[in-house]
Amino acid sequence: MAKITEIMSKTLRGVSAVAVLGLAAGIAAGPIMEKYAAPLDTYFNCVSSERVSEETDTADWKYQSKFKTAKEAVDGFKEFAIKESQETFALLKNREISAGKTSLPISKTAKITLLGAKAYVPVYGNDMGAAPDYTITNDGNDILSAFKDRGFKINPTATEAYKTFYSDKEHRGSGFGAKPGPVVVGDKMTAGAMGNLNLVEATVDELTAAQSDLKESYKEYKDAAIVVFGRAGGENVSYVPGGTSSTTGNILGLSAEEKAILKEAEDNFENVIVLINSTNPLELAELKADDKVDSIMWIGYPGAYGFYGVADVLNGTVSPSAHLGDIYAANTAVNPAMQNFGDIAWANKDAFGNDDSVASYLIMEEGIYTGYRYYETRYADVVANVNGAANAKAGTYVNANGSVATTDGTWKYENEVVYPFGYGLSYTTFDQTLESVQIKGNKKSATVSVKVTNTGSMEGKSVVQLYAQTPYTEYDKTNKVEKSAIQLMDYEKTDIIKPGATQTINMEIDLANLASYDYTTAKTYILDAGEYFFAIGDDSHEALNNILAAQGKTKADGMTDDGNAANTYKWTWDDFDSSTWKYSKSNVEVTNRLSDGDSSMNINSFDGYAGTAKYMTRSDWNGTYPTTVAGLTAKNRIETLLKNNFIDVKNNDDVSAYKWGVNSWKTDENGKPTNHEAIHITEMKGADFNDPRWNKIVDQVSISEFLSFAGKAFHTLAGIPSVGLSEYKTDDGPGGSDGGKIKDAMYQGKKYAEMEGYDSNYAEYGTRVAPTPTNLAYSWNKELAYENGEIILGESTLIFGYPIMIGPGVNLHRHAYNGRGGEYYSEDPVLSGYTGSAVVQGAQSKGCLVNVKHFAFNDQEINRSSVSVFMNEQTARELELRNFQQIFEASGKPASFVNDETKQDSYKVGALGTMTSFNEIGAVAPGANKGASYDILRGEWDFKGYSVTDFTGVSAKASPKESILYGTTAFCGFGGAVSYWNEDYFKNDAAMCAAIKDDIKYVLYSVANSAAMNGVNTSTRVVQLNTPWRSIYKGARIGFGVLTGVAVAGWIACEALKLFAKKKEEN
Amino acid sequence: MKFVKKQNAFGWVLMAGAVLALIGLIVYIVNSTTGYIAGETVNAIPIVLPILSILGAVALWLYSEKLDDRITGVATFVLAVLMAISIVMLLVARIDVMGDLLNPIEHSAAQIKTVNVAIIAIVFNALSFVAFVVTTIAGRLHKEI
Repeated sequence: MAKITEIMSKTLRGVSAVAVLGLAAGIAAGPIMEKYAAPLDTYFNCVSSERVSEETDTADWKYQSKFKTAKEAVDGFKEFAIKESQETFALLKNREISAGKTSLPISKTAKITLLGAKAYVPVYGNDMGAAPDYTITNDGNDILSAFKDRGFKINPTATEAYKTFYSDKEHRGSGFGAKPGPVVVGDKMTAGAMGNLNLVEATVDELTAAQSDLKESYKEYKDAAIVVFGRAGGENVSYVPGGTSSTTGNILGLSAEEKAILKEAEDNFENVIVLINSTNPLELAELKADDKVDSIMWIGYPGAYGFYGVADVLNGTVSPSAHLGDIYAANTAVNPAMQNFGDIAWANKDAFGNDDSVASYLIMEEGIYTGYRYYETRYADVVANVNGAANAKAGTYVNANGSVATTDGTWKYENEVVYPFGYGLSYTTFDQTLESVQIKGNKKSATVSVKVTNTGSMEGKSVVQLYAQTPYTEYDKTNKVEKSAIQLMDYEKTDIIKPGATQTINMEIDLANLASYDYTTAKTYILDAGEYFFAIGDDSHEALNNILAAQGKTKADGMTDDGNAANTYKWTWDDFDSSTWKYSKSNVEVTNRLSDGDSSMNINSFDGYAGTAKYMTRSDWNGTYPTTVAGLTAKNRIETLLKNNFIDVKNNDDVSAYKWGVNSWKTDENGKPTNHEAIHITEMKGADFNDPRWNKIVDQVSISEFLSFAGKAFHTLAGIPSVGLSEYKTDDGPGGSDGGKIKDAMYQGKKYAEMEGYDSNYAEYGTRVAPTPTNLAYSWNKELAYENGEIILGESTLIFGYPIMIGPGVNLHRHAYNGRGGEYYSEDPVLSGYTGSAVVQGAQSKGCLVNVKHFAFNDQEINRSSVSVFMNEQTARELELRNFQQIFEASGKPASFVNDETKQDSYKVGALGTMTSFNEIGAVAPGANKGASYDILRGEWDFKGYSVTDFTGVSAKASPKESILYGTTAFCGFGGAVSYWNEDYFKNDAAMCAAIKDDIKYVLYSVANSAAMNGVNTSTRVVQLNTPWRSIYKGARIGFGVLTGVAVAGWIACEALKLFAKKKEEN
Repeated sequence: MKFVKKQNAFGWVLMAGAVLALIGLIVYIVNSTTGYIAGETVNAIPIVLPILSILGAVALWLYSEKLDDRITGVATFVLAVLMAISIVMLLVARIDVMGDLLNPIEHSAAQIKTVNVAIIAIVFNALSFVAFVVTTIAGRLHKEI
């Protein structure tokens, strides 16, 4: 007995120790898990809190969802996704395959054979940050299901052949139709590693081995071969040129394996249709020139339901109406921008600390000549025979087959460009006539009227593209002002026009986008004296040809086609003008902000770097073609700035004017207010920025409270108790909610009832359903973009209760190689800016607090968090910033909204939120760049909203003190804070105090004007819900607590028994 | 050296536990003062508790012969508890750096190294904990005379 007691005592001691470990882990896990509630909710697919109010009335619900039931939501998102997709596919080629019959459209019941890896494992959306909802895709909405649903008969033998071939292959997963898995962070989609995202093509022999009767099966499914080629894309991945078997050697060209599959189609089918399933512009010269390729249609990434839309366009239910929003070059690696791309390391990068996040730099020597601005402007100068445009050095131009020329020679537009910016065909034909143009006397706007007539036999939509040309003068040459020979000014899409019918589009043109930025002399926007042109055209090249025709040029001068001068309008301004656009729309002086000092993006302005960047000029194409600026050492002021600590915070200012935590909102333990003097945030619903009550409510917040709020912004809008603001979960997504599922969705605070008898896994459906943002831009439809904002972002906010949706993503496509390009719109600042503006207006109409991202200059994923981006201020202002400017200034109102009473409140307030970029703007973190983030964004553009960093946390990399000084209001991320993140550090610096007051006001103003205020009032409080992850730590506490108690008690009891036995023995 | 010969197997396990705790302690200190998080405030609990454990273990090793087995049992239990808390606090001290790896950006080699080294420190602490639990179960650390 004594021995058993001894053994039990020892065992229970050991058990007690282990139980204590479990108990300690359970106790510690609580606060840790609560901190990571947002990602845990996503991982466990649950909701961890809800908002409850004692009394609400209808007035509390300013923003109304259009979806009152789960069915309405599921069906509504699907309906819109398909509707959007139908307008986003650009027809690039459509040959006549027999008398009067073109390759497309095909019959609704066509018997088709699908060929190519991407026909079976297509790319539905950009990976990671904007991934489509694969639950939906895999629930009977994949390409094969969608095509069958629309009536196509798909060759089952070919399907089986691919199924067999891929059964043992891996595609970030394994097997046929494998779902794309998470991107391996740091992966580059180089030729060598492309297998991670791009599926290997099966050869014909391999397919035949899998299904010996494959070729025989073609005879039955012979109406068309649909060959799908594509490239995947995703966040934190990049393509790099070269390394493949394509004609140019580039990964964006067709590989030998892809050409072999194409040949199989050409050898066996009379109608060969190629679908381009990529948002990175592919090299399509061979497909365009190939007479056996009957049609080509760009489908981008069509989204979770998008292949219904593809089928609808293929079968002619809808006529294609999209146009390319990027230029399609023969060789994507041979252009000025690509000379400075990728990982160009600072020579002394290893000398920096890890927190500095210093790796590489980019110097955009190409200036404004990216995309079509380069190709079309050089073409214009070739035609005009000026500036030595036709002469090109080896390596800077391409041969007729797209390969790089290895000797000096002649630059030819026909060799360089396959499809121009704005290109797109229809099943019908349209005639567009420039009816009238009126330039307003103040030079600030113009009205343009265009008549569009459907001259074909099928109904369809047409896009009116209005371009401009500004004079390139001696002043410009002397003062380094560059001019594109053609630039998009505005666009509109018609309604569906019946054959023979006409629609007139009246456009109000913002001439701000006509002005050029002179960073050397006038130091503001200028308008040169000289001749200006407007032109319409089906694409940028046609519009330029029209202008060249108006200037007397013909094919004899080297034009690719004769233009139509009738579709141009010319006017002359006699005087050089540097005053019209010297003040912004909010009446702030527009002058150099990025050309000198710490904010400079012009590397030549820094001590020790004079002459480093040799910017390309149109006046000497050949002599100034960019070269790679490599091997720079970060030194002098740049070295200091890259260390993210360049302002001193004072500790002895007079700060008596600043009051903190005054008269704060307080409640008792039952949530009842106890301080009736305080203002509750809900009392500020919809308040104007100039409302005097803001001063009082801002004073209710302490510095500590603001710092706490600002440091907790990963998918969270933290609470500010002193104003009654409770915490909200927020979500990521240009394409819809990251984590929201229909089973968690609600209408005005009440969860949807389940859908009885609904034959799908609908409860697990999310809202990432639409085509990728590049597709949306290619629709050239502002109204559609507005609706995208209303539904994809706005309704996600309303049905899931996430006031912030992190989107839209609007960075420009500087080149073809950005792996994340699909998450952004276009290479053009007006197409991108107006699309983004429409999305934002739609989203904000539903109360969504958008986070327009990534401000700014984030155009490659290579070293995305540690690359310093340099360019001159003209480039910054006329490309990336012009793009963002449209969104923050609420520009680009659709013509159809002007007289639409239901849209009178739209386009009055610009975007109320932004997310900054990872890269440094010049040599400083984006939020810390005073010129960009404060002087321009908050000053010139009058931005009054919420500004959050992109996953930096309050780390040194974010330059936290500099960033809050210049208007950053929150820091997204998990990491620990810099050591100075406390009230004592900031409270005695007057400038910091003023900035924090401003930042608090920006937060409260944007929140008060969002759906965060929907359904809430002073009685609202947050209730924590039980979740699987809370059960884990609570269970651990209870379980191990009980085990500890029982084990210790047992151990003590055993020891007592031993003592008792010993005493008994002694007695 | 007489007392050395008097140690039983569990006495040596106790010392192994102390050595493992010492290694874990050194790894944690290096982890806290170099590399990715150099210069940040060091959480002292994962330093203090192992030091107490090590000192306690050495004292027990030297004097367990003079102690009642019940006292030895309680003492080794306390050592195990100290290491249990140390393990948890070490994890708490590094959770932000670990959590930041969820961040979908490139992570520096230094950050990943910091996390890996922290995991090594946790593993040594855990092995030390296991050793102390074993000695707790044993109760007696010296040979019967």
